[in-house]
Amino acid sequence: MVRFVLQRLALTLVVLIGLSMLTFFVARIIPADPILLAAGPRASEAQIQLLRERYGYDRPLVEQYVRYMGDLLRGDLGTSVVLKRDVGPDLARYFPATLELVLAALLIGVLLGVPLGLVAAVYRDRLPDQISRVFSLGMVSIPNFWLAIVLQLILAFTLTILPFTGRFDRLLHPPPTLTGMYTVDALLTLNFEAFGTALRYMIAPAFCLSLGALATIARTVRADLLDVLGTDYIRTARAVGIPTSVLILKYALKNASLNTLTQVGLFFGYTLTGSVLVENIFSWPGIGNYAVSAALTKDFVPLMGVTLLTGFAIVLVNIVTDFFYLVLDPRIKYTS
Amino acid sequence: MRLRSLSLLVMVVLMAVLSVSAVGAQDAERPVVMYSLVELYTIDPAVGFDQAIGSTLKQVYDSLFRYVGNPPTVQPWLADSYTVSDDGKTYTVALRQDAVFQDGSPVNADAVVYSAERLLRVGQGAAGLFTGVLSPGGTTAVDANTVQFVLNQPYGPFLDILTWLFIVNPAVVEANKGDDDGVTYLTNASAGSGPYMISNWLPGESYEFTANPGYWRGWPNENYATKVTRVVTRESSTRRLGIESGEADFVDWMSVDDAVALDGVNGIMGAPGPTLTVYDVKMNTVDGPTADVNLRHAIAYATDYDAMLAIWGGRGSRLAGPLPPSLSGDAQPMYNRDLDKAREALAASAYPDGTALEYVYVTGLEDERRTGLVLQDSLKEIGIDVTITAVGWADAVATFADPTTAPDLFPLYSGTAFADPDNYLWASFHSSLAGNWTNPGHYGNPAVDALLEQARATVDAATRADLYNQAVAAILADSPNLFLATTPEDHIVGPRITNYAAVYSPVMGSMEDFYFFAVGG
Amino acid sequence: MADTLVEIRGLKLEFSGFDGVSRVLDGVDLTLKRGEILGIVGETGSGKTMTALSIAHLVPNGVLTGSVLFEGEEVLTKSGGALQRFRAQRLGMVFQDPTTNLNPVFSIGELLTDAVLVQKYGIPGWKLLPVGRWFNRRQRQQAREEAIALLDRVGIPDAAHRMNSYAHQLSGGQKQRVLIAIALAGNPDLLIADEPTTALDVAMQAQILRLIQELVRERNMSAIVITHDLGVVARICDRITVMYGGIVAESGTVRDIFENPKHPYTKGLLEAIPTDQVERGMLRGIHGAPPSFLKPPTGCRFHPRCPARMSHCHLHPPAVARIGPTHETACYLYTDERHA
Repeated sequence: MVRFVLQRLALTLVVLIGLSMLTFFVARIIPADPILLAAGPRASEAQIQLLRERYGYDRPLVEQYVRYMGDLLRGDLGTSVVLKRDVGPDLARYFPATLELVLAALLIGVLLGVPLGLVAAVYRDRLPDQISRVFSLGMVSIPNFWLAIVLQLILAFTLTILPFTGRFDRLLHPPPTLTGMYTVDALLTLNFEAFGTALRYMIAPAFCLSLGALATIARTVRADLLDVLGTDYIRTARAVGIPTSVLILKYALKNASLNTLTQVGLFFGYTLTGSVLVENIFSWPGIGNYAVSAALTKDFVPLMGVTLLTGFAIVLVNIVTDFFYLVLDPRIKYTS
Repeated sequence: MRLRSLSLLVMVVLMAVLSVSAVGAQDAERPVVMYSLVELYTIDPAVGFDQAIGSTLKQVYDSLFRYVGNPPTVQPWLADSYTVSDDGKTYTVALRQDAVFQDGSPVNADAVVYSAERLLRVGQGAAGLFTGVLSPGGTTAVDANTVQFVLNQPYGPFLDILTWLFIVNPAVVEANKGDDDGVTYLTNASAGSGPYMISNWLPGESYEFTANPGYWRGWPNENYATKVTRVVTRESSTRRLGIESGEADFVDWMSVDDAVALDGVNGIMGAPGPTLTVYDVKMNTVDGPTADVNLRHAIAYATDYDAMLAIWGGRGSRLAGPLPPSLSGDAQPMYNRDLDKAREALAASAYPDGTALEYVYVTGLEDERRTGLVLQDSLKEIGIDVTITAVGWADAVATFADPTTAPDLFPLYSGTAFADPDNYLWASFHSSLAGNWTNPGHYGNPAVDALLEQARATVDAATRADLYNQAVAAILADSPNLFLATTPEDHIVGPRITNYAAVYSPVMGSMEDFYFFAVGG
Repeated sequence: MADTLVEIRGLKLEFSGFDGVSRVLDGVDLTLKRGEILGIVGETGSGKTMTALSIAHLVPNGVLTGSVLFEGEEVLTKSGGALQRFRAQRLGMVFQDPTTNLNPVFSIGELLTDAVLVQKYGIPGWKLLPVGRWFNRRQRQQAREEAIALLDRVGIPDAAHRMNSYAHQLSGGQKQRVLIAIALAGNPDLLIADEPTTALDVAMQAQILRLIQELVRERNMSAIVITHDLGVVARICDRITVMYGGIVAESGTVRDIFENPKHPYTKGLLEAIPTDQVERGMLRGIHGAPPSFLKPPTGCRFHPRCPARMSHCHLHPPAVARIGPTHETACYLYTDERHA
C-alpha cells in the first residue's frame, strides 16, 4: 500500500513537470505579449521595458522556466502581469470555491444518479425505467448553463426561494477559512447556520454542474446492476434466501459501483475544467473565470498556476479513485 | 469512556461559542449594489486605469481637479485656485486648506509632489497621460499648500489630465512601501482622502465601500450611499435579472437590447447621453488594398451609415469625424452613402474591379459583429468582398504591431480618459502611436502630426480649436477610419438611485461616481 | 414415516422468445421423501435444473404451471417476503461452478455471516446494509462465530483466519465447501445441489460428495442432487429420477435403476458409465442430439434417438408404467396407455 502511494506520487510529479513545461512553452510561443497589454495604450517604451524587467520577461525562455519552477518549489507561484497581484493567494481563494462546487456536484450526481439507476434497473423496461431514461437523456442534452439561467430565473427571480448569485450572504461573514470551502469550514467549526447559508447558495449551481455526471452515473449504474443481477452469485444469494433489498443494495451495488467510480473520477476533471459558464451565471468566484481571463489576456503566470493546480487535483483524484478500487474490489492488486 | 464524554463536552462548548459568534453579524442597512462585468484589479492610482477602476479611485482618493456633469467640465477639487504662466509651461495650484486624508492628516503640497513623483516612478496606468508632458522632478512644493508643475512643453489639456493624478497619503504608502513602491499594498488599501473607505475586498468577487461620514468636502446629498458593493457578475443575463429583481441597483456593460427592454420598467432607466464614446472602423493605411486612399474613399462612400446606426436601436448618433459631438460642435459628416461617388473613387483606385478585405473583430462583441455584417452588405455593392473573422482581444492586439499582420478593417471603441480633442486625436492619429491598439491601421501623416503637436503645446483655447479643426480636416481627407457612431451608455440604473440623470458624467471613470448618488427607498 | 417433503405434480415451464414458445418442462411429476437423497439425472437441457429451481420458485421469467408442494404447502404461489423466508429457512442450494457463484467482492466471512443472520436468525434485510448493521453488532458477532464453526465443519482449515479471504484466494474445492456452508447456514430441510462437482477435479469430486452425504445424514435433511453423471448418484443417492427432454423418463431406487433399467434412454446412460467419459450435451451409447424445445418431437420425445423405437411411439406421449413398488417408467415397451 505504501509502495502504491509512493509510486503514484512519483508518477504525479512526472505528470506535473510535463504539464508545466507544456503550458509554459506553449503559452510563451504565442506571439501576444502580456506586458504590452498590461502596460496600457499610453505606456512609453521605457515604461514597457521597466515592466519587462520587473517581471523577468527580458530573460531567455528556458531561464524564465527554470526560475519559475524554482520559485514554485519555494511556494511562490509568481505574480500576474495583468492583475498585478500574486497568483498564490488568488488560487487559494478561487480554487476551493470551484472545488467545493465540483465536489458538491459530484455528490449530487452520485446521490441522485445511483438511486435513479437503481430504480431503472429494478424496474427494467417498465415505467420507472422509461422515466429515468428520458430524464437522463434530457439531463445530458440540456446545456448546464441554460439550465442555470432557467433555475436562476425560477428559483431566485420568480420564487425568490434561493439566493441570486454569489457564495454567501454579502451582509454576513463567511465561516473562518480552514479549507476555503464554506460548507466544509462551517461544519468543521460546527457553525450550522453558516452551513445552511452556504448550502443555499451552492445548491443551484452545484445541481446545474451535476447534470452530466448525474445522467451518466444513472445509466452506468443501471447497466452494471443489470449485468450483476444476472450473475450466478446473485442467483445463489437469492436461492439461499438473501432478501432482495440486500441483494441489490449490498451484493450487487458494490460490484456495480466500480464503473461508477470511474465515471466520478472522469467527471471530476471534466467538471473542474468546465465549470466556468455556470460560475459566471451565479457569479460564483471560482477558478474558471480566473483561468479564462488569464488565457484571454495571455497572462501566463496565473495560467500556469491554474493548470498545475488543476492537473494536480485531477491526478490526486485519480489516485484516490484507484485507492477506492482497491477497497471495493479485493481482486485488484497494484503491484509493480 | 471518560475520554469520550470529555470530547463531547468540548464539542458542545465549541458549538455554543461559535453559534453565538455567528449571530450579530447581520447588518440591517442594505448597501447600494452594483453588478459589474469587470474586476477591479487594483486601485493603486499609479497602476490602475480603466472605467471601473477610475470610478473607484474617485471614491477613495481625491485629485486636484475633477470632472463633473454632462458635458463634463473640469472643476477644482483639492485645488482652490490655479495660475498658468504665459509660456504655458508652469502651473501653480493652491490647495484647499480643509482637505484631510482618511487618517486625519492634512492633504498638503508634499503629498501632491509625492503622488506625482510616485505615479511617474511606477510608470503604469495614468502615467501614460503624463508621458512627454511632465517629467520626474517637475513637481515641486512652493509652500505647504501650493504646488507647482513645470511641464516639458506647453500642454493644453493639462488640467484635464490632472483629474487622473490622485493624491495618496505619503505616510501610509511609506509605511507599507515594500520592495515595489507600495504597489502591492495599494492594490486594495484606502490611502487617500476620498469619501469612501474599503470595508471588504474579495478580488474577482465583490468589493465593499463604506462612506466616511466626516468626508472633508461634506456630502452633496443627505441621503447619500453609506455603503456600496460592487459585485463581479460576468454573465449579462444575470446582470439583467439582477437589476430587474432589485438585487442590484446599478449594472454595467448591458446591451442596447437590454437597455431598450428595461427602460422605464419598475423605475429602471438607462444612463442618459450623449456619451463621449467614439466607435469607428480602423483601416490599414500601410499594407494591403486599404493602403490605397482612393479605395478608402470608396469604402467611406459605400458604407450604409443608417444601417450602422440601427445597431444601437436609434440610441447612438452619427459621428461627423473623429471627435464625439460634444467636442466636434455642429460639424456635419463628410462622408455619406453615395454609391456613385464610391464607384468613382473605386475606379480611381488600384482596384477598379473590386477586391477582398478581412474584417477582424473581438470575439463576443455583438455590436462589432453586426458592424461587420453591415459592412459586408455595403461593400458588396461596389464589388468588395468582406470576410469576417472573430479573434480574442489579446490575439488581435498582437497582430497590430506589424502592418503586414494588422487587419484590413478593425472596429474600435474609444472612450475618453479626459474630454479634450487631444485625447482622441493623438492616440488614434499621431504616427508615434502607429501599431498601438489605438492606431492599429498605422495611420501617419506628417501634416497631421505637426498640427497635433502644435495644438498640444498651445494654451489659448481659440487657437487650439482652430488647429484641431485643421487636423480633423486633414484626417478626414485621408479617410483612415470609418467614423460610425457615438454609442449609447451601457449602464442601467435601478429606482433606488434617484438622481442618476442629474449627476451622470460621460468621462471614463465618472459613470459610477457614487459619491454624488442620492439613495431612496 | 410416510411423510413426503416435496411433491411435484404436472409441472410445466414455458419460455416465450422471438422464435416462439419453448416448452422446457412438460408435465414433471416427482416425489421426495424426508431424509432421502434423490438424484436427478439427464443430459444438458433435459429440464433437471429447471425442476430443481422451481422448488425454490427461482425460475427466471418463464411461465410455470402445475404444483410444487413443500410439506403440503404450495410453493409456486409464494412471493415476496414469504418466498424469501421459505428459501432462507427451508432450502439450501449449491450450484455447479463455485467460481461464478461466490460474490467476488465480499469476504467469505461476510457472505457466510449474512447467510447465518438471514437464514437462522431471520433478521430483516436492512440490518445487513452498511448503516443497519450497526444496530446489529452483537448478533452479528454471534453469527460470525457460528459461521466459523460452519466453515470448520465443511472442512476449511484455519477457518477463523479464512473468514477474511475472498473467493479468488480459494481453490475450487474450497469455494464449493464455502457455498455448501452458506447453503446449510440455516439448517434447511432440503439441500438442492445442481451439478455440485462438475467443475471440480476428480479427487475433489469424491470429497465434496462425501461431505454432502455426511452433512445431509447428520442434519436429518433431504437432498436433491442434479447431475448428468450416474457415477455420482450411485455413490450417494437413495433414489434416482432420469429426465429427458422435459419429462421424467424413469424413476426408482438406485438398485432399481442400476440393476433393472427399463427405459431405453436409461439403458443408454448406463452404457456410458464404464468409459467414465461424459461429454457436454452428448452421451456415449446414445446417438443423435437432445430434442429441441421449440419443436419437440411428437409422441415420446425420445423416439427419434430410441434404439427400441416402435411404429406408434411418435404419435402420443406414453403414460407412466409402474414396474415395481418404487420403480416407474414412461415407455410404450411397458404400457399401451397414452399420457392423459
